[in-house]
Amino acid sequence: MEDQLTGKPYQQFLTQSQQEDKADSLNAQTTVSRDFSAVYEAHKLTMYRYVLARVGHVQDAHDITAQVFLKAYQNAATYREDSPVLHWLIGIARHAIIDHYRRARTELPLELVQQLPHDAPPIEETVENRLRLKRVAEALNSLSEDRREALTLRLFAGLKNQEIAGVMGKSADAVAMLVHRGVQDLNARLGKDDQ
Amino acid sequence: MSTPHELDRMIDDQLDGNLQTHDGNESALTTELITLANSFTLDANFDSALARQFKTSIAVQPKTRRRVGWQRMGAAAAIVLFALIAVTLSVPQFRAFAQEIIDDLFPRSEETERTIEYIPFDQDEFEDFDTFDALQDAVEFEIKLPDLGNAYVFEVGMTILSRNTILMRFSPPETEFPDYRVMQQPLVDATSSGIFWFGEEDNLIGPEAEILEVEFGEYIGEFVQGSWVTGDHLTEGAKDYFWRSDFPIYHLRWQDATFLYEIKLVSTDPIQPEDLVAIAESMMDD
Repeated sequence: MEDQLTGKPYQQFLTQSQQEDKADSLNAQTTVSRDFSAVYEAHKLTMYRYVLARVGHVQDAHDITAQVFLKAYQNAATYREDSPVLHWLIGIARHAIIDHYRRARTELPLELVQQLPHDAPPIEETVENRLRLKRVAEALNSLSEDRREALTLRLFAGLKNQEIAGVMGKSADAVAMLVHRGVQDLNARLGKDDQ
Repeated sequence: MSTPHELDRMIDDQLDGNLQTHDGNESALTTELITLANSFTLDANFDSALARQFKTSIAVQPKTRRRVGWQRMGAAAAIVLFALIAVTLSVPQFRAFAQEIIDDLFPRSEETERTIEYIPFDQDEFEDFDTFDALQDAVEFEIKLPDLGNAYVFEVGMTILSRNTILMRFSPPETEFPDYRVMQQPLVDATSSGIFWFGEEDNLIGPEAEILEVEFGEYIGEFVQGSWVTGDHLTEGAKDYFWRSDFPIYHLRWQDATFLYEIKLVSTDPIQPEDLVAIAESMMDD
């Protein structure tokens, strides 16, 4: 199996002994749970930026990114080998974002949250960037669902059209069209806001 | 205006780092959005804390069973000590002293909803360890190791050296839960710096939390179910956390002459105090 983001065979994330174990008897579910650190390292930035573009708020994006990976880690047994890990993570993230907007997020116990340093020193992005991000996220949310999804995965998560096609269940040509129209819509939307 | 495929090639080029080589409104927008995306990265402290959750499991060595002779001697000593505690609790002035210690095990918050403050600590002294032996080597006192059977592995050990506190996590090899967290701290440090872990200021429980007193051997411990949780359903203006007594996290705290201990269990199955007491007994039987 090949990791769709890095292009590397997924087995490269495993140690030699883990590969041998896998060859012997383990299925993909145990593979993911055994080496989740590698899954996290490979996809954390992609997931964070995808979530960030959708919610437009740095702290919320951190919280949701944590929820996505913790949920994936806890539910590794539900991962299906016939789809890339990234697709699975994005599916979890979509639900987490929907929950975020419904304002019905899963409660996080202190025992987990306290290990995530909310009170860490302020993140060093500029205020201008944050304001711009908020406005872009609002503009993205005014697009149709498919255009918004394709544009976010293409520009913020940095995925190829072929990869987005796998995530969205569409052809690469259809994704190219969605991105093209999404850029036009967003240009018009942000252009109006700038006036 | 470009075609969809021309736009696609341009975005590929921009994602490869060539952001200033294209003209037009579309290019300006995609350049700006990609630049904006690239300006945001995960907070380093957040990243390392989250990554720590996903450490690979490493099997723990089975605890050595003590000899039968020691068992009998220990049981006899326990009976004598238990009798002394019973006498102490039957005399009012002694009971007052003992009760004060027991009450301190789980101090209560007066508020159902509150902001939890953290004691800042230097990240450099925060360490985690893949094996029990490495954790033991990092502290100057003997760590009590629970006997959880073969179904659990030692996930990680942690310490904050300035607070002289250790934490060990155990869970089944392939799943996250049940998750046992066993903590130990010298009483003198718990008294001077506050109880236990992650710098939480006071380790309070909710005002309505039920405390069940349990006895095992010569020890009197306290059992509590619940956790401080956070979520978006908090009303506007509410504080960060609120206490839920039905949340499936179970705590048992007790002390001996030198140390304060806690077993914290996260479990989706119903747990009784006796379940945690059995683990505590396995720690204290040496």
